[in-house]
Amino acid sequence: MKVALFRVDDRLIHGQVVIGWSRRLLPSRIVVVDDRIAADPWERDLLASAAPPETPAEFLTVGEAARAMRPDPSPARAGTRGDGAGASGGGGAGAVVLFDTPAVALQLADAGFTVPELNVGGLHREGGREVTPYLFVLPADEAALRELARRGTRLYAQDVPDGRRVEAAALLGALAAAGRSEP
Amino acid sequence: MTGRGKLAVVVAHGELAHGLVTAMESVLGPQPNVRWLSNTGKTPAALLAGLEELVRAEGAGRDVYLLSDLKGGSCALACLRTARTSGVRAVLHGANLTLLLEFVMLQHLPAGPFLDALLEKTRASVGATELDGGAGEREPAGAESADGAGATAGAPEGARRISS
Repeated sequence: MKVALFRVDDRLIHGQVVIGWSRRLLPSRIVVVDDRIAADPWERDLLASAAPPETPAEFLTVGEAARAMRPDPSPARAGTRGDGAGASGGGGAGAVVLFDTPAVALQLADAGFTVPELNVGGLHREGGREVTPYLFVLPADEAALRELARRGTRLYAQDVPDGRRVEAAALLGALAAAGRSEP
Repeated sequence: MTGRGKLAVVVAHGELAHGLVTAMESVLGPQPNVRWLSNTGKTPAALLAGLEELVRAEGAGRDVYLLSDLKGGSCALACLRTARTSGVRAVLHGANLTLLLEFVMLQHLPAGPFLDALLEKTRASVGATELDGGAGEREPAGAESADGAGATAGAPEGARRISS
């Protein structure tokens, strides 16, 4: 699967993705990787309705996503759900792939596909520590991000295309600083 | 219409929801059946919980309409999730000042004609006025001159050309 952007955003398909990133990247489709949503027809329909008309939405379990994204010369395609066009390569800029938490990206790594570069674009955890105005993280999020970085994923924080890009070192430093400032 | 009539809840990004209600009330006066909610500072779960609570507290026995700003946005998704579990009559997208004004002015209509008229009037209110000075030599297809020469096929709906 050709991918233009891997993104962590707990709102999944929403304005920043639909208007901001999709207008900029012109993705072939928007892929949500989430076991719960992949099994919930109502949530799939709801999120698919939020995608731009010209950009199909697709919903994969972590296992399906790992099979679709692993470099594999075989022509077999992973199973797909939703109204997408399947997990084949596709044209254009590739897909925008969304995870609601970093833990899902880590599950994907455990399943055999390590995301090469991950945009951390929105985490609004109740009781989370503020790292940037759009990242409020729990210890589990920080642990998953650090583990992803350890496995080779290049992390960066950026909410919108014209927003400031915070590279991995600064992001991880901010995470550490936010942790130190906790009472 | 049921019970105490219609309730509108504007749900929008940033200051937009409050701004729309304030602007509408500056034209029509206070409207206790129009409420607003912003997503600013709220987690998606908190926005949803706040909206569900508002609809539960004020929507009983009423026709509830949720007016969101951006189709596909987090506010619209919160509206649709609320509508799934609450007695919401309709979720509307693309909320603007006209929509809110017309909501108040048309609220006496029964639900079906109300929604049709509301959307028709709101859509009709969107347009452009293109001036010679800004458009250069470009002749917008179908634009209408200010002297009422009429629109040509293919014009953006509502566009009018005004000669300067």
